[in-house]
Amino acid sequence: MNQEETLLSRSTKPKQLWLVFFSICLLFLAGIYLSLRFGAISYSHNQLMEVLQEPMVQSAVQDVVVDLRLPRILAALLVGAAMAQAGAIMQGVTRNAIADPGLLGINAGAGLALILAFAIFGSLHYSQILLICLLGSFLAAILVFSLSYQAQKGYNQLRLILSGAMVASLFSALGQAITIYFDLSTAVIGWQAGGLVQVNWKMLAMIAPFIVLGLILAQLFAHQLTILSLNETVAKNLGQRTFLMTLLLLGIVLLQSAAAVALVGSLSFVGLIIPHFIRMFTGKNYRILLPLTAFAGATFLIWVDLICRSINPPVETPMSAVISIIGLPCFLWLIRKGDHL
Amino acid sequence: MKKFLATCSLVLAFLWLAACSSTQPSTKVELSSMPEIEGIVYHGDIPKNPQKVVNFAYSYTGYLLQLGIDVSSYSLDLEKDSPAFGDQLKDAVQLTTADTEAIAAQEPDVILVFAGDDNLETLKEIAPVIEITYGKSDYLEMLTDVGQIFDKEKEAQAWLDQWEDKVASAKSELNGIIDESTTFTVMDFFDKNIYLYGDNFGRGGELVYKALGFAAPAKVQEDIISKDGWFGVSQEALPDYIGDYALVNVNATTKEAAASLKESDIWKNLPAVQAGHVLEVDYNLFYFSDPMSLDLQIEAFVKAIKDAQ
Repeated sequence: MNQEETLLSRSTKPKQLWLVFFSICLLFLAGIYLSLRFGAISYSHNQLMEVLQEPMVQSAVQDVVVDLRLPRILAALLVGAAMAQAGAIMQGVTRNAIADPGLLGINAGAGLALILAFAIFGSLHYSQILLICLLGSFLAAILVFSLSYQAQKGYNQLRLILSGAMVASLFSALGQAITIYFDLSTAVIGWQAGGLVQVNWKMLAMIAPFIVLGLILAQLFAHQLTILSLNETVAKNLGQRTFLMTLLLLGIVLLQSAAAVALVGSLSFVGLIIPHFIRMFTGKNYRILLPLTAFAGATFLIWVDLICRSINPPVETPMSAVISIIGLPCFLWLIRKGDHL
Repeated sequence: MKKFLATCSLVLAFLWLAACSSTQPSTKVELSSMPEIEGIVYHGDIPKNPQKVVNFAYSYTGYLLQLGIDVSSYSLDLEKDSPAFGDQLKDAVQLTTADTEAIAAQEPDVILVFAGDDNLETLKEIAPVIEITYGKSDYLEMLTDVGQIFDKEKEAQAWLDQWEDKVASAKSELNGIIDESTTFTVMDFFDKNIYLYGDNFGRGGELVYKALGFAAPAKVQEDIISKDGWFGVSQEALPDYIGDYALVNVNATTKEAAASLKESDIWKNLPAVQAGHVLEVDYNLFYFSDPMSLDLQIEAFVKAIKDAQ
């Protein structure tokens, strides 16, 4: 108990924290500006300003900047924030440093639902794809949670992780079997590795409410998460109804990452690197950790998407490839640093 | 005594084995002349009239069928579903080069693979293998090549002659309808991605650019035809690549792909789209560029152009 308390107070380093915050701010603004200007086509500062001053006036530049790039940047922002924050919450709830939302079966559920839908309907409009992915994620998460819950003993973290891993591998095995049987590889892989290519305002309008709601709820319950992340006994002694709180927090994770996964497919590492990086400065105080993680995740994904678009124009580089290339060294560095993993 | 028996049985065994092996070559197979062709490598003795052909080089299925060579396996559903091949692959099995036992069970006389196949060494032990590098011979030369290998040069030439006539009559039919300098872009959609193709990657590229001689937009020429032959493009840059007409390959699985592109201003403002010059053609028919497919493609293409006016 004592040790946990000191951990809380010790590791919040205010000066470093502000430095990190302002660095992220700068990167965030620079990322948005550059994302608007560069991509398959590059525009001058003046061209960009002209469009931004009168965003509804139709022109060739407006077609690209307002109709294609702006929703894409907002999607990167929301998805990055959701994925990073969902990772942080997941790690707090399960008290496991390498937990990620995939353990709730979200990626596997979305994937399997999509594969089934492609097998049945052949070709799908993007709005149907989004709905099916959301539905799949929710069903998979409910399955994982009910498997990890025992009537008498209640719920425990280890069972959650185990049943999550089990459901995820079962679903992906089923998915692969169906993919091979119906010869669907190109269609499904295309959607899941596509990243933010072709995101438009309509897709954003479908996905944004889930993520925004998740982000708000997460902030409201951040302090409860700090308590829950300490230790089951401590949390109970502090008067927390741990089961209810766990359920609620996992619900938030589900909202955020189901929406993110539906839009861009599964992106490894974002939910791991970003929370661990931020945790180096904030410690386990989730009231600071959560918003900062979301902010850093948003910035990270905006930059990743910018790289995807501009590294080899006019070809779009797959987002998962870029994340793996950037993410792996970051991850190794975090492991070497050691103290928070 | 023991020694004598042992020697006797050994001698007998040898005789029996020798008798066995001497019966083997009596089923003589006429061999192909195996002409030296760039991009084609032979492993083992290729028969001239193979009865069982296991074909992994799926681009050439239509060439074999056109020349009257039966194919007993296929790799892609696109082969089986091709309207050009009809039900000729009805009894064929779907195989990959890794299905060693299933391939051996077919007891093929010859196996065709694309160059660089991982399982080449294993396949060589099952049957003679012809290894083909894609794109070394163009779509018409390939028919002559296959004809030479399997002694069907006359059949190959006959098709080429009638093809020339067909192209000439299609050209004259199109002459009054569209200008010769009209530019075409060959493309298809997969999910969120937009792919463009040059003049040697199927999807109608050979037909439009090589046979009918239409031009590609400058950017397509520069970035695709002069380079890898195909690439995925960002929707932002799409207007640079679309010519007067777009030949879009569509089938049941790609009908809704790239829906957000088709709803965007960038697509709706394309001159080709505004003029109604987006020709949606059957992906299953246009995927290959073999003689059988080309015969149907040219009719479908002329009809699509007429319908677009």
